[in-house]
Amino acid sequence: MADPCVTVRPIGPERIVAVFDTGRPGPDAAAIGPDTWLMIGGDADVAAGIDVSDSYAGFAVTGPSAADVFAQGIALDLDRAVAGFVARTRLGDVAVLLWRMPDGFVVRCERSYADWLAAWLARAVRLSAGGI
Amino acid sequence: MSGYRLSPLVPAETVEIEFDGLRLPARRGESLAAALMANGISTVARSFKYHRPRGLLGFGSWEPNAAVETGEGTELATNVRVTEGLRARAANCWPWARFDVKSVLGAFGALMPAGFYYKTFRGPGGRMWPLFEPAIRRAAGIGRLPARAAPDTVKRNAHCDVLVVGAGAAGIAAALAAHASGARVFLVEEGDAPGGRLLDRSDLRVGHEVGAVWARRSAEEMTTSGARVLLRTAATGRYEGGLVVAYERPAGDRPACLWKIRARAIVLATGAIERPLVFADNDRPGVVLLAAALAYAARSRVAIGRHAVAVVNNDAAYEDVMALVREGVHVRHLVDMRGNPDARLAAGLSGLGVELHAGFAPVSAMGCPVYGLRIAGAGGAYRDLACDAVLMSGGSTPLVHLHSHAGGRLRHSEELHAFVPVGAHDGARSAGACNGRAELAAALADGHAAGSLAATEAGLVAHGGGAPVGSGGTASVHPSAGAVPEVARGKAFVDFAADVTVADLRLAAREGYDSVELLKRYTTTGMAVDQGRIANLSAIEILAQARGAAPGDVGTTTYRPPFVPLPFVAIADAGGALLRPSRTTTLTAWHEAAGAVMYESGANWRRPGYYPRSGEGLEAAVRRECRAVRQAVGIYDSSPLGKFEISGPDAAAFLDFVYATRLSDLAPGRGRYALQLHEDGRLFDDGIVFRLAPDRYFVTTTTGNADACHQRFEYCRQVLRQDLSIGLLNVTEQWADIVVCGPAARQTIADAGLPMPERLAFLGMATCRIAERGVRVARAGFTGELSFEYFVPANAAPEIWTRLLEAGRRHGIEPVGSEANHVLRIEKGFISVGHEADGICGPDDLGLSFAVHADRPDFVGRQALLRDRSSPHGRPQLVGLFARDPGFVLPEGAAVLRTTGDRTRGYVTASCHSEAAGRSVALALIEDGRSLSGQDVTLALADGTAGARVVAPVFYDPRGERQRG
Repeated sequence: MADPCVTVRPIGPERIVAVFDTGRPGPDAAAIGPDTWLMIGGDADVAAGIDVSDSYAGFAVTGPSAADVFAQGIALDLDRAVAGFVARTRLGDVAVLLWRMPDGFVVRCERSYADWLAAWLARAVRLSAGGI
Repeated sequence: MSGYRLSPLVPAETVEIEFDGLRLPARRGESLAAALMANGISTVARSFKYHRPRGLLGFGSWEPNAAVETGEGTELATNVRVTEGLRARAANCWPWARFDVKSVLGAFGALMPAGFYYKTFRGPGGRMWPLFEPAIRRAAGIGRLPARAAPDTVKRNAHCDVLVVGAGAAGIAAALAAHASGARVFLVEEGDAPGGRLLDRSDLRVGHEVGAVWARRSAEEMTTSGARVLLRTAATGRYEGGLVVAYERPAGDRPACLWKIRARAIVLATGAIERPLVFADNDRPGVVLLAAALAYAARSRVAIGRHAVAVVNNDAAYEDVMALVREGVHVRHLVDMRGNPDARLAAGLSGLGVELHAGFAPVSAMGCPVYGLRIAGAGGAYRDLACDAVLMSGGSTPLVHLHSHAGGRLRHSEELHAFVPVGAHDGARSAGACNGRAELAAALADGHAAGSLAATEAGLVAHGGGAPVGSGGTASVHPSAGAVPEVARGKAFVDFAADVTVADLRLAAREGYDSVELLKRYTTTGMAVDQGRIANLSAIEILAQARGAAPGDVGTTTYRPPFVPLPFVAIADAGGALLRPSRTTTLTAWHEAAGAVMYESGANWRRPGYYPRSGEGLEAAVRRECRAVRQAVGIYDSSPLGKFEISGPDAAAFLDFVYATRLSDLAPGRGRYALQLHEDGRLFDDGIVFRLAPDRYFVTTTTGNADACHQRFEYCRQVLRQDLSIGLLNVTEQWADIVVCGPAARQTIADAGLPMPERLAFLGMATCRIAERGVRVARAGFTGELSFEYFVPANAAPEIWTRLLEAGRRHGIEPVGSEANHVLRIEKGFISVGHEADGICGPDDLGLSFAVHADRPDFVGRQALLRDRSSPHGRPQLVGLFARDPGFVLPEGAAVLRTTGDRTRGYVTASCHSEAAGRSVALALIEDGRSLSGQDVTLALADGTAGARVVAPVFYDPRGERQRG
């Protein structure tokens, strides 16, 4: 991408499991419904829930301007998105899940929207390239 | 008017621009309005209704007249920046503002009173409106659509503790106070530089500094220490919960930006604008607002004229006139509508050589462009003052719009002759001139207090320092009277942008349109691009005079966003592929590579419509695809189908409640066609529900309703059936769905080496493994043939799809699109939600009673369903139709009548040519249709009628032997 302040990289296949639990089952777990959580990564125990690894596509958006890229479509206060921040929200017309990472964010959407989200991110990076 | 530059153009900054065919030198970066004034162009526009010549009246967004086209849409000349090669033309005229063909309308002005269009074209007996409307709209329209694609506009969300709108004296003071408390501060300012009125008045000082220097330094220091200061950014609306929308037009190449700023507390320091005075021909080029003339002189270094006359009704205007003279603009006369001028101010004027005429009201402007002003004294004595510019100051209009947008209340101030905010509203408090505190010292104190309060409200501890101290600018903005002299007659304009005169308003009041909301709609005053900023106070004053009421009792119209005009692109976005998300399956790339014609379909999915071979049209392709399914084997991508997993001890009870079909007695490994009903007993959705295990179901819904079904499932479990314990998961995206159907389906699957449970019965489901991944295979489909659905993890789909296609090649396999699927399902009489299930039909109407198990205590829609049975007549019922001409495909949507001349009894829901049936076939919903079986009906077509016979709604394999075989 053109802007050295932001890099967008698709995340490869990863294990994602949906589990039903009344409490948050892990520090990175994202709520996708009442008592329904997504567990990401190798620690996720498929036997304990339902494998939804094929349901999501993800992008790592890293760099100092990462929050500005998302501010173009997400209404949340990303200044307050500190370590441990996970949210389910809307980006434009699409439901997304957003995780704060040490060097930026990871955003995941339903797989069918992946092409749209990739194009959206590319445009947002281009439009923020001039600085704000 | 004879405008000129107060500082000469330097060659390095000079560019050539074009306006209405004239080539003009201009200074790079200045406003087009300033460039036109500097070149002595007095007529820059034509008025909206009468096409009267108009000059500049205001500055910035307060300009009601000068709409221009720049190739990127219509814009105010005051907001257009001069760049190399700028080409602009006046918007509301042809060919040019200085000579406009449509100005002939002005000659008929007396024949076009308020409500002219209503009275003439829509009044009693007036049936001419449809005839004239297009021409009137064309004549009235401002501007044309730009030919070029809209430029990129960024949308950006932002959050802060304290948002300050306006960086004048009060706004800066507020931002400083909030910033000192440690608040995250946003300061937005519409102008090019912070300072507001401080930029125009070098006599105003804050502390030991010139006011403008203080403003710039303060803004810079706040920016350095973390505050956000956005210049050229106009707040256009305030909404509930601290949301303010602002539009930024950055300097340079950066795209424009629509900001959505959410603040914990807001300070509105939007200032005030000057009111024009109402006298005859006050719209002539050369008649401008005094504050605008001062801003052009001080900020753009352009003089409005060589000998101006000012007409005022307040003390502060004296100071502005003196400032204007100090900027180098010669003002010859000052006409004060009041009788006893302040001695100190009068002395100041005479020291600058300005002649004072106290106790005179303006009567009429003379000339076009203006060359004189007639004024009248108390005894009726007239004086004609020669001039080339008339500067009006009719008092001050506090800009209370943002306060009012979200519901803030107003009161009428007798001192200001204007409306001011009542207190804070929803975390937003006004300060400075918009709060009725226009004098510098008061504005600074008001801003400081508001900023401190806002910081406290945002949860911070106010810093506690004192307010900046101002000096100068002590004269009051309070006018002694309104801006509408008793003598105002004739074409004395109140609303310049909407072309409404004092006579129009008085006429409307006489005709009974004497509520302010009716007056607005009848006369259109306040309805033009400036949203009544310039006009409304005077209109209210005139209505109050006519009713003998106080302006406070007349009240205001409703303030609505946007406060300043926005380009559509800022709201709607530039469009293109991103405007609406489009969903792809993991097989979409294959479909596109195979040359499929892709359709936009339900729930934003892009799906293959058909796969034409070279030289093949729609019909031939569909026929070929259908033939493959019926005679060999077809394969289609049904991945968008809605899919849910419902698990837990109460999964069966839950589904029994949500569905009208009993699902609790389903054996594991079996599926059943099931219906969901609306509360009113009408069909909502259908699909096949499979039981994977005693406590686990795999539910399929229609594609278009997948999200609606999800909502309904959640509603049922969270609200209606909290007693049931289930796990609910939407797995639509997890499972691709590959359907292999046709007589050769079994061999194809075997040849592909895919597992296929040997004894899988119709509507059975089994799990197996392909390439290390769990797969669910079902005997189901939507074509009526032997059919296998492979639900496979989405990312595994391309490989499995390709294997099946390769294996099927020698069996004559064809990929099948939605067009052929439509034909195949019509042949079988399978309903499609949205076609046959149209929100009106119940299950019995569609012949689906077999899927309703009403002998159960409760399920969604049961009560309504039972009640419906008491009146079975007159229901729309699903039937088949054979057109009399078997080669004629009845149009979908055609009305069905029993005979010619009958009322409409129903309509065709789906229709096609069926090769399997050897003729055209159609499905229709017809009132009591089943009782008409074997009878002829008539179809109303766009060009005549057609005959058809009512038949059973199944045209192929009526006993269903093929799909069960």
